[in-house]
Amino acid sequence: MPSDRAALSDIRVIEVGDLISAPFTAKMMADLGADVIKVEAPQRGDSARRHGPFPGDMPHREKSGLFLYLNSNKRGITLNLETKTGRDTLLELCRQADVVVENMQPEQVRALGLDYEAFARANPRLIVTSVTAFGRKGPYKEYKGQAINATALSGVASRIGDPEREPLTTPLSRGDYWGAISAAAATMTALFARRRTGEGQHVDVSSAECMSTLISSLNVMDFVDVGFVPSRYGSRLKMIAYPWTVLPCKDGFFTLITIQERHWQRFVELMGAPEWSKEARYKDRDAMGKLYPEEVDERIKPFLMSKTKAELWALCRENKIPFHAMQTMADVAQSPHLHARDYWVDMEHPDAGRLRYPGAPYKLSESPWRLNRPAPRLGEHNREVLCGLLGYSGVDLVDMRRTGII
Amino acid sequence: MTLPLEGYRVADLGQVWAGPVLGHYLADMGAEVIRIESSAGSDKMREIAKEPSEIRKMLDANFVFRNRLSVTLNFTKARAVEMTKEIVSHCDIVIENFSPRVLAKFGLDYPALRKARPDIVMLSMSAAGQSGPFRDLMGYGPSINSVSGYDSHVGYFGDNRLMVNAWDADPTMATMGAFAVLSALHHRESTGAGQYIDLSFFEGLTSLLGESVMDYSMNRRVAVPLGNRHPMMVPHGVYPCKGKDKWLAIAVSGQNEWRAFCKAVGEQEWTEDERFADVYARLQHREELDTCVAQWTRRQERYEAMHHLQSHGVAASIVASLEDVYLDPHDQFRRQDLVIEDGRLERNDVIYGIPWHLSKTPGAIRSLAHGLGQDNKGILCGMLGMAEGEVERLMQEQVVY
Repeated sequence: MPSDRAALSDIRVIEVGDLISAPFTAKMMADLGADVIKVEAPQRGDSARRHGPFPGDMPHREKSGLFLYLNSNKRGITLNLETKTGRDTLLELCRQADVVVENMQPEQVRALGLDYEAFARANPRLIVTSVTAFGRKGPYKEYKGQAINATALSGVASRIGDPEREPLTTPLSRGDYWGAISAAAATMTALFARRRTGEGQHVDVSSAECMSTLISSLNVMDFVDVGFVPSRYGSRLKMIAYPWTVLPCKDGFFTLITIQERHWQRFVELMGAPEWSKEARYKDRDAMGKLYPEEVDERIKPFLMSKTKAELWALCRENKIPFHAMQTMADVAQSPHLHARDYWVDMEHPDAGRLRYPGAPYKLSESPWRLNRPAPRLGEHNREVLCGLLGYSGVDLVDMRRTGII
Repeated sequence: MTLPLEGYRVADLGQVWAGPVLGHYLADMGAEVIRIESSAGSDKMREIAKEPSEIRKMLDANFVFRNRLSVTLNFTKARAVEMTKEIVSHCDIVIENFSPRVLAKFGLDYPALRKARPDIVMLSMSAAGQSGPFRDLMGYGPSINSVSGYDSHVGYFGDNRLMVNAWDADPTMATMGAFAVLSALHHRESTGAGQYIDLSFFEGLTSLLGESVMDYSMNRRVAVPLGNRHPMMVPHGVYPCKGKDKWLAIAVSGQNEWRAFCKAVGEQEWTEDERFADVYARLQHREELDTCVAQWTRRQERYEAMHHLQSHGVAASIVASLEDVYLDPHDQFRRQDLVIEDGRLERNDVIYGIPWHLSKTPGAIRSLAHGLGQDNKGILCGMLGMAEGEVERLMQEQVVY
């Protein structure tokens, strides 16, 4: 039986986050038990509240799907950081915290004076994690960046899309998630360093740099394999042995990726070893992949078009071929595998109602990933946090509300 | 200098890409990471690292085997399995990404390793996790992005093809794995208890699709590719610049940034067009707006345009190639503080640095990759106390192999 103690239950995190990157970093920690207090601007709140999707396409600041997903398990307060009292209250809160996660735009950091030094003066043991597109140092440190900019500067966008058309960013702001995940892991290492040194520090994570670093190994490998840096992939890779391709089938798409000869052979047999497959031209997987993959795609299309993705996937799995259905979100939602593993979490929210959320990305046997509470309504925990943690009175709270601090 | 994970020891049974990336994160941050590998099951990454000369140096430096010790043990021999358990008894963490059941077959799964080291933290990464009807799902990282639902988003808006997104599943899951392992280690420091972590690529990748999952959950709407469109920002896209295949990514959020953008492009006639008067109007006329923006960008040199737009407070960046990433002054600057302790390595050789910048304990590239089995004697004699003669005999018997 797992214990009731969550892995990070002794860690308090203050999140000054907007949209995806810093909120997802804080969510990863909250889902393993950290006490995350999210700070939002009064009235406006996190812009993810306006992002959607919304139930029945009825916009409501407490019902945005992106916000609800990224902020469950957190407590939420409002603070107007443009006021001195707002900033002082934030720093007071930081004296009782282990970690601050922030993704303020550079001009905001400057205008508010909320740089690492300001946080460190308030609490020298604090880990301050900045997760931004370009990072907090370097020639572009003052530059504004969204996920698409980080993805562009990282070298990732240059590889995705049709070579004849514009490069594509990674969908669903994946660049922000890249920064967020890296920042979560980096923050943990800083917490380990603090055990040794007793000191906090600044953890500066640029999502562009995280992506460029990790994709560089692949790019260098391609360089070694084919001697040039290729352009965009299109619907297939054209620099390794066949197949690495995404093709239509009867009711959707099917993904065929392997580097091993035996997988391809099994697939040829699965197709009934058609006449063409016996020609020398279709025996050289290297030439097929690098010189005329489009032609091979056309050869196998009739077989793919005769079957649904579920039929093809079942056949491939039976025959130990690692080719996969291109699952849509409907397929994923109905996946028997995810149900068998109790992946989905159904949770009630006072405004948005009962909804199904993505579940644990990893199963920890002793200190499990858990969804305990839905995302906070704007300012929901003002009293709990400001009175409970910082000792303000109810009367103070009224004054703070009147004067636009909370 | 303090390294954050100094004093922790890791047995790294990682294969191909995801496992080894996780191993180097821990090693860069100071853990002593021992790769347990074998010539009997050769690894594609190792094959590549055998490349000669300058490229080899670059790969060693940039690649995923740096900072680690290497022991070769052939799991098909019972004695090698026993020695692996002995090594694990000296470790805090085990990471592996074999197909499920492979380690059980060798007698090296969590129950077995836990006997060797009761408080071990062990992470298994696999395509679909260690249980459930699809646990035997085979596949390379990139193809699991198809299973997760992600790749059904990769393409141009309104186009009937999908594009391949060949790269990010393995390193993304490795980074998530690093967070999970370190959290479990943190838990062990508080409670003394080790544990087992089952990381499924399928589930991990689906957990990054929150907005699409929620749209299905709320409205039964199935997400389709949106290309470079964003639900709130407009213009938001990749636009052509002067020169062949040169591009600029621009993202404009809200009305203030729009005004700044209009000023930056020199108050062109179209910036006054009422179709573009507010955010809602611009979302309705995205394509027309993109055409106008492209007319402007086409006349610009991409770096100049980036700096110019940024000076007006507009988010813009070039679309970098590998070469650009290597030469870009910002990227170069970010690599400047990389701590390199291996004298064979020049700073300029390194593209693959340490992207987590910890201001006081930054981690280090302490050494280039060790060759297969380079540390056999060091570990087997030093840590396990075996006699040199015995190690040599086991090498001849292909136990140490």
